[in-house]
Amino acid sequence: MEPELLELIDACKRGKSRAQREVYRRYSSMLFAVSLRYTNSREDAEDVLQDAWVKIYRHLNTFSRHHSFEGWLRRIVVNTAITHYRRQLKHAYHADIDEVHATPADLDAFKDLDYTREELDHAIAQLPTGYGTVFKLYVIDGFRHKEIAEMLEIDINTSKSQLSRARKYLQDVLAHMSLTALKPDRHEA
Amino acid sequence: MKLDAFDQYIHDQYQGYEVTPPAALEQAVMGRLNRAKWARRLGSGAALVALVAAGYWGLAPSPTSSPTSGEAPVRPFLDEPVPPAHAAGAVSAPATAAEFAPVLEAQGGAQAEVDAAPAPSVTSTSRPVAPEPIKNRVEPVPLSGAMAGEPTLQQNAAGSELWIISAEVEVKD
Repeated sequence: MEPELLELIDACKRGKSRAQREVYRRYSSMLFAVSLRYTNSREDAEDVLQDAWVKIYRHLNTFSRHHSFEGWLRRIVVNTAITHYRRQLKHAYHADIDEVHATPADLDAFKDLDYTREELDHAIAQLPTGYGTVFKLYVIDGFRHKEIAEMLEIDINTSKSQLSRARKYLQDVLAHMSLTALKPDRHEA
Repeated sequence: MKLDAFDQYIHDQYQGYEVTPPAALEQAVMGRLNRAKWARRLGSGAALVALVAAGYWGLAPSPTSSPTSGEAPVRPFLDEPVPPAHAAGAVSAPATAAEFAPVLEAQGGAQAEVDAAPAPSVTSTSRPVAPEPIKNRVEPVPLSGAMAGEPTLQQNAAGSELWIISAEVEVKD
């Protein structure tokens, strides 16, 4: 970790307002994107981010400088969002299990992946809540199944199976998108 | 395409993705931090005042501690009754026997009786050694007469065994 960042973190621990503002400005855009990913609306994302920042400054003493500061921040935001939607998510995990039928998309159909982030956003948003959360945590934010299981209070095997189903579901959605107006030129060739 | 490649593709699409939050959010966060900071300071101040007040009232004489409160004062001594001087001397049998030894030697026949009797020892009784002040106040002096009787083993109320040696002593001023 950079010495400058360490000094900044130490100043935040001492309650220095200037340092707190500096840390906020460095990471708020990245964290707002994370918050938007795990919430259903921009208003919820703002609420979650605000709560997360207060938690960050309150628990800064527990941060170990041997770990990634960005990863630590990201985790707090994700945890705050999950807590925000916990009741809804718990319901989703149990409701989703039989909801998605086997939609095995042929992975060879994705040899030429060429989707914009907006298209991916649109596809991921169609995932059932439980699948979508596990998929985003694992694939986009890089959490491991053990961490995901702890965060969502589910079994590790549940996390793995949800990820597997999410992949299939997403591939199916993307294949479907390719056939529709979103990608009219994809199959013309 | 393998799963890892699919995951990697999705991951890369979101790498470095940022969205600027509204400016009002920064003010809201900093406002909450400031309020929390002041609340902590006020809490610390209140705790300090409480501590000082507690210290002040703790040092002031408490009405409940006065003798007129009706509570019995705490006794600075042991609950067990202190045995009388001669009994205490008998309890510390080994020391007393040593002190009496020259006297007993001079008394001839009495010496044989003492030897024949079982020698009391510390291990023969669970009673502690008699208090020091009594030993200082009662100085061993030659007996004015023969031993009035043989040492007898008695049991006190607590169940402990005591060697009782009857003797007459002269106390010097």
